Amino acid sequence: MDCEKFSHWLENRDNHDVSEADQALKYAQTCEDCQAKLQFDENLDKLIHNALEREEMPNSLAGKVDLSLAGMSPNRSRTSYRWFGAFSAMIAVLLVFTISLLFSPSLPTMDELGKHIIVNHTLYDDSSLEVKDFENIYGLGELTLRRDEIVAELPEGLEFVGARLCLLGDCEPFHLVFRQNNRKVSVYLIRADELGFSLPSKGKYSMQEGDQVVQFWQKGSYVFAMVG
Amino acid sequence: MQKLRRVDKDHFKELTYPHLEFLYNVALKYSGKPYDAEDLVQETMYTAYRKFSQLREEDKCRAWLFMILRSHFLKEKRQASKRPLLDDGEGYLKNITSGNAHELAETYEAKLNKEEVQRVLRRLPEKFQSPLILYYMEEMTYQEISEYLDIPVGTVMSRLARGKKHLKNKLLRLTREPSMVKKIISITCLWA
Repeated sequence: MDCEKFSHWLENRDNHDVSEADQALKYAQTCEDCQAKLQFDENLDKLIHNALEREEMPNSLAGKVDLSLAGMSPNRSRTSYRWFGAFSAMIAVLLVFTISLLFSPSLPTMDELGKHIIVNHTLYDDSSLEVKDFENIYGLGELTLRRDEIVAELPEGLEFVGARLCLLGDCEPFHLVFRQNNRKVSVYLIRADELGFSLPSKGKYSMQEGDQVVQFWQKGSYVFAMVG
Repeated sequence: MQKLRRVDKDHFKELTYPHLEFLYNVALKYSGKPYDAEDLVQETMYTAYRKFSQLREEDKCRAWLFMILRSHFLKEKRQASKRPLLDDGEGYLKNITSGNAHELAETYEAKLNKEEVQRVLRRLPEKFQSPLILYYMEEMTYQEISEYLDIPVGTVMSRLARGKKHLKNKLLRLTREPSMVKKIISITCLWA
């Protein structure tokens, strides 16, 4: 066992044989960093556990179920079954429609996205960028644009600082950070199907909040947003 | 006939109603909204009552109800757009050392509340969501989860491992984002 194997075991505990646990836990006692990782992971696990604990059911729910079962029987005659079939089909269609509307993720408008971007760009601390080399951005997640396609979309003179995946509302775009004349420039690559608006393939759109301007344009299945 | 129906219904209620709270809590983790959770439970109970004769082993009633609820949830979810899972959550512990673990743990404890954890859980594909809910909420064993989801134990283990990595990776990423409070202040400032 070494530190790398220990981390791998810790992140994949459910997939490993129980016999490995003893070995791994013994190893953790000999290494301060591994001990810290173990403690960190167990605390995180506890936090998730607490967040997913059962909650109290509304008092009215059993009554509502009673009501929806009233008059029903699992052994119905054919005629009543037909009636019930038609009625329940109608209810089911309505329910599926209503719930599908409620379950659909609320896709952000350009205005909402722009505000998220300005806040993210302004407040994000670059120190925890996940990659510092442009080539490595493909290790962050699935990105179907080639490097040359991305570079061709950007203005000249930008110096790459780093990249990460971030969260803008419910979107998970790539956040690329550049410098130009000591100024931070952020470029966000957002999958177009995560947005509630579409852009024509040519042309750029701007949105201004205070002294910040966000530019939007589309390339293939990605929307580019640039600020800074 | 009336008497027979009455007995059926009483028996149905006796067997199923003790599991209403479990069903409601699973539905709540799936949907995130109390009203949607109640709807899902009602649909589940409606279907369960209609198909009551198909329940062969009464001691498996809870698992049977769970399957019905999950199937309703999946039908509804198919209508919603699918989000790609961008990474596999590998290496979420890679930057943790004895020097920063305490500080990072304090950060996530301060930033992550119940709603945030549940929101991140809801963004995972259902194949990870269901085992995680049964594992964390009900503290089920691999074997029990395997019976509830009707998948092999090995698959449960692998989905749990991958699901936990996705969940933890996303939660830790969330703690690195500017906090919601700061966001609100900043938006207000920008508009002022």
